[in-house]
Amino acid sequence: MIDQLEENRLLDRILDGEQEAYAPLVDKYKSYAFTIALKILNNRPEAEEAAQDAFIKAFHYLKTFNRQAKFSTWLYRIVFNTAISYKRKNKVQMQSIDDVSIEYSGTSGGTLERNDKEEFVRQAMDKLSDADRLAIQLYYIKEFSLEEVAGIINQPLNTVKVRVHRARQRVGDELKRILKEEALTL
Amino acid sequence: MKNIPQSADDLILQYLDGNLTMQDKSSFENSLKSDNNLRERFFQLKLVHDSLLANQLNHPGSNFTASVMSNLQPSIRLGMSPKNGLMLLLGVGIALTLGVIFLSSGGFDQLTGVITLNQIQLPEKFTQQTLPSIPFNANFIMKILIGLNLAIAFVLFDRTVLQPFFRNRAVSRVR
Repeated sequence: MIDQLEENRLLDRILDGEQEAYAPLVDKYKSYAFTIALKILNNRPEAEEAAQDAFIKAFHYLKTFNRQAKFSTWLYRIVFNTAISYKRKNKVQMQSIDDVSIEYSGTSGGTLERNDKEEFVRQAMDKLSDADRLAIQLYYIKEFSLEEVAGIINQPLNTVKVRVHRARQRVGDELKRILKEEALTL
Repeated sequence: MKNIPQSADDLILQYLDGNLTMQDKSSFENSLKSDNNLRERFFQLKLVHDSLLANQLNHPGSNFTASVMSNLQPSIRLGMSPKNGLMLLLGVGIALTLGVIFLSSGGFDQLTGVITLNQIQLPEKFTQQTLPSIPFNANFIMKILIGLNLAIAFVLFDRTVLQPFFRNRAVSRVR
């Protein structure tokens, strides 16, 4: 595992022209970067392309990274912006809900089947705006702190806190509505 | 079901996040037992909470890092896939081998002579001057072609085999 000191050494070596020193950083952050891109694009090949593109951009703009923020936050913001621009370019085809690769697996008790619960939560999540959905998803990935989520989506910490809180309530409300409709159709 | 007040939602979410003190937690759990509306809302938010908790990291393909590293400097890329590069290298290798076999077996030794351009029948208006004769030696031409093929084969070998090999070795060493 690369610690902060080792990470700084690697960054120095890259800036000195040793391109190969970038590989451990790509290895370390690729899953996080890919996850962020996937949450935005909902398409694995596109997300992989966007994440790779973001790593290449980060490499070329490394000289502009001032090390006041964490390298990871700086990198994730590039991933976030790259994925957003991919989405804006309409490179992503609209997918049916079956193709959406976000995975849920409920662990609550009750009489509902697991797949049904996953589907209901997914439907409820789809009612959120992109920014709310991304904020709530990143918040629940334990590796991302709330500060880091705020850094990635470039919003103040308190705004993100409120956003996550309200988004969870809205998903809960939506879930209540869906469950009620399901109960009526039975 | 009655509408749940905002404060109840706040309490439930704090409970789910593990942010309540022991005393508040115990009080909240007691409320859950006695308040049906609160319990119903709790299970809705818990379902959302648990579903999102299961939403962990996704992992890209196994060649992700190699792909990023090979694209850092696009100028040194071959401009074709490694598979196509190797196929072309194989083709050049076969052509070289055949050329050398024919050359060493003396297959081109008889193909020498002079091409006399004056023997070509052209309209008079084009042949007012005497045309030169061009010496022709198939052996010599084959040697030039083999030399060119060798150069192409070397470049292909470098781009499709040597550069990726040394780049991967350097990357795995630095990890």
